[in-house]
Amino acid sequence: MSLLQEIKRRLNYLRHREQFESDLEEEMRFHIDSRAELAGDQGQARRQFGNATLLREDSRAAWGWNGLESVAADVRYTLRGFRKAPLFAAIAIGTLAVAIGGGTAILSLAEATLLQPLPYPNANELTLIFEGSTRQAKVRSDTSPATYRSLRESMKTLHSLALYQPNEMNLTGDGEPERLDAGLASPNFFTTVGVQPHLGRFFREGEDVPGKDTVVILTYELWQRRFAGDPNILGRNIRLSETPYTVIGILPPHFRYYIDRGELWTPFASTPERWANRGARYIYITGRRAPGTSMDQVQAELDNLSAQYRREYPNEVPLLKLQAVDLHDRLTEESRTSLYFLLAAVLGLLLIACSNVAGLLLTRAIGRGAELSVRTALGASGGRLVRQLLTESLVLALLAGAASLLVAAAAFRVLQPLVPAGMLAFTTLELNTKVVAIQFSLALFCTIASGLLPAFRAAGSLTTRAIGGRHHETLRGGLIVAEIALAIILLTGATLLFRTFTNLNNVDPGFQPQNLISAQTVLPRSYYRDATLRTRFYTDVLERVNSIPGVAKAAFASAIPTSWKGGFSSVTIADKLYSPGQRAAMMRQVTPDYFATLQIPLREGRLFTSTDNAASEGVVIINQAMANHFWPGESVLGKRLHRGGPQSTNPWLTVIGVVGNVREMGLAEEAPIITYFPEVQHPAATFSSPIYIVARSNADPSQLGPALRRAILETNPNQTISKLQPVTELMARETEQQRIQTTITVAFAATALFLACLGIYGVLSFSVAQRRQEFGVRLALGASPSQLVGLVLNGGIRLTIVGTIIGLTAAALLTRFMETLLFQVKPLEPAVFATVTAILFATALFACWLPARRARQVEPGQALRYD
Amino acid sequence: MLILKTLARLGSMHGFGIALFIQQTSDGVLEVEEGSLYPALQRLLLKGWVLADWRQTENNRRARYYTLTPEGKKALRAEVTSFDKVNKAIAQIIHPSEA
Repeated sequence: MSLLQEIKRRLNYLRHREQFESDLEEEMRFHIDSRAELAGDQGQARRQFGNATLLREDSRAAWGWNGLESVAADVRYTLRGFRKAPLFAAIAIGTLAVAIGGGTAILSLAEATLLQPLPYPNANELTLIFEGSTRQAKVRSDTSPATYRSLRESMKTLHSLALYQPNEMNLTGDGEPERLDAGLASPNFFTTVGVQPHLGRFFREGEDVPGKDTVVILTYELWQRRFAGDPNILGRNIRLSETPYTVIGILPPHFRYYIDRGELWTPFASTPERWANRGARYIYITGRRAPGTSMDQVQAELDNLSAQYRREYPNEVPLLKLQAVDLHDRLTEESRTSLYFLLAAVLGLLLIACSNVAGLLLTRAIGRGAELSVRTALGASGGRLVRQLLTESLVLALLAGAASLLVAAAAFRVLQPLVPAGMLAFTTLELNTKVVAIQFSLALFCTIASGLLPAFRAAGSLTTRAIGGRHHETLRGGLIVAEIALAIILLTGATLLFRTFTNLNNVDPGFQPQNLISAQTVLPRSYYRDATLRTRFYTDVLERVNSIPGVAKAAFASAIPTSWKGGFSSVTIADKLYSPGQRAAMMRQVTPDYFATLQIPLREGRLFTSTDNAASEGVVIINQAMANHFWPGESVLGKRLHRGGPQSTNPWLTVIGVVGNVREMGLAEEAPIITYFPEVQHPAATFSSPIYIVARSNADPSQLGPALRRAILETNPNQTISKLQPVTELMARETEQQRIQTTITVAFAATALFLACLGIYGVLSFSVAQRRQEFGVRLALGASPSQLVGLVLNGGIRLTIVGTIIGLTAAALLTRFMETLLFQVKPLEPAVFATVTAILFATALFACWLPARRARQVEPGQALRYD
Repeated sequence: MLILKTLARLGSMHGFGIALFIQQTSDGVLEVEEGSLYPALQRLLLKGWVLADWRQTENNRRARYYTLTPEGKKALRAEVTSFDKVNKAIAQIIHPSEA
């Protein structure tokens, strides 16, 4: 009952606050006057009354809202303080916002890729099986349908085994012809993954037989894009690669699986011969671990089965070593090191930011010694001051938190492309609420942590009147040493990545990518079977392309560098012993001008000409790496080889030339060994489905696009044309990730360096201000201004040296974790450490010199009068 | 409690009067910072144990007079009772023979 009335009275007080103040004032004046009359002494009366201001505040506090009001007052006071010291506020808020905002953006990415579970039920059971080699531990390739069948019959640790295979298909009718990424899957594939159809059904047993396999499941995205989400799509016929297929189902939105960009899925149907072939490897196997089964148990079973298969099929899989990999581990494998590295960088920057803000707050608290003394004299208790200083930290944290949101949103946009496309499939990347919550707690924690020390220092030193004493300098010196050490670590990481980036850009790819344009097209099936038709198509298109103004040379090829297409095959070499484990060679069919178009240099022999045709002797061109591998020190011209193992009936081919190595698998990978065949001499059945046309222009190749497209369509209006783009763009995509990672790291390191130097600058400026008197005395006693500058510089340099030594030691210990991120640079490269030290010293010296200069300007007379 | 008791004895009184009374009745033993009376009075007002109104003093000055409310009287009784209890307990510990 009284509580209600109490609240009513409190509210009443709020309405009549001014009245209350004047009442209290008058009442107290009356008291003191009365006492003075009695004692005859005004001063005596005041002393006896006590601290009127404090008592008034206490009286108000009785009515206040549990201290809320004084908090509000503190906040107002703080904001006024920030307005009076805008530089301090801007630096503190900016520092924290950059560190925390950047951190939040990176945390969001890490959350999405490292932590976020896959969107399938019990996704932690999903396992992939790869085929490896007993000779090479690292090899992880596709596997064969025959192996899949064997595993399906015998595996106990994995259940619901399913297979799938990436595929491509032409979609014609209903608008422009389109080349689509597709997938082939065993009937149980979608149930193993654990998704439900959005519409219709998935495949049934029996639909995986040739002839009954003309059913198709569309992804939600393709259904929306191409068929406008038509609700009556089920049962409709669509033409895929010239065959009508019936739509039976729609997948749920965002469906993706490992190594799959498929927009539509058809059943994996194969002939008995293909099912029996254990050597041809082109499918992926996935399955679920039985509850309570570890990856080790799965691997142990696979090891036993591999040994068994090696014994049973010694000719087909002599080196088989099956490997189980957890799906989520596999998907995050490549980005993991990068993300851990970035997380470490975030943490480092955060620590630097905290030390810096702690330093700033400390300086501010010391600088405000006089103000705080006055407040104590007016009756503020130590606890009250600590609360005031902590309120400042809190306000700082909230402002920084808000600012860091903006930074985070901006940084997030920059960072997004870092995530490999494969991982993006499962999550929509966004700054989620969880991360924003983490961010705010970080902001609060950091600022309060940085504010705590200075607050207690300030409050404590007030009682001892040792403001700005020696121990403050030790503390601030310690903070600076820590900042420099952290900056060195970040700088080292950044320099290593920067070297990696420049090394990659300086790598010779083995051909001239400038002024090249390429496109992918697919021949109609009828053309594949008939070599004459096929050759006529190539000749016609090339004739048209060569007559486009600006085109210097053009060629067709089964694949081009960095297209990631084109298979490997074992080769048998005449007069050399064939071993099943020998290196396989990349296979490529090309038209004669391929080498001239890409400007791949000829090292020995001759290139293909139009006289190398179906009627003439079978010829082959190999690259330098292949010549060195199989014929070290020998001349290779005239040597003979054929595709496949010794039992294969493929015709013998004569080596007529050796060309330079091309980094086919990306700039960071050594060139593979490769065999080039003249397209006209190659059996049509082995010509892989998409082909590339590549043209060299005399100027900007992107201008050529429309003319190139026209040249193909004029030859055959039903051709699908895709991936029409300059080759430099194709290659840039590869270095893009490195570029972004390097940019971020360099940005981190630069910020760290800047903050550390700001710290040094702050400490020295403060110390110069503090020591004005001392400097005055020194000058008066005959010290030269330069000596004073030296004195200040000395202090800064000593901190820098200690920080550098600690930082370099830590960096040497930490950089080896970056090894997989680096290219042609060792984690402990002395040049890198020297560069880092030089950069840091140069910057730190500058930061020291600015305040040191001020020591020179001290006027002895003025300095001694000061205070 | 001292303020409540004083007001119970004097009826209504202003702050200075209360301070004076406490000082005199306790023969100067309880001499505190006189001003600390005022925050205490505010707390009593808040609890609703006293009422305040402005009146003229004998010297024709305006002063705020405090009066006990019925609730205040009740609170005083409760406080005195508990004070006596504690007092008795302390006395028993210090002078066990007299118990």
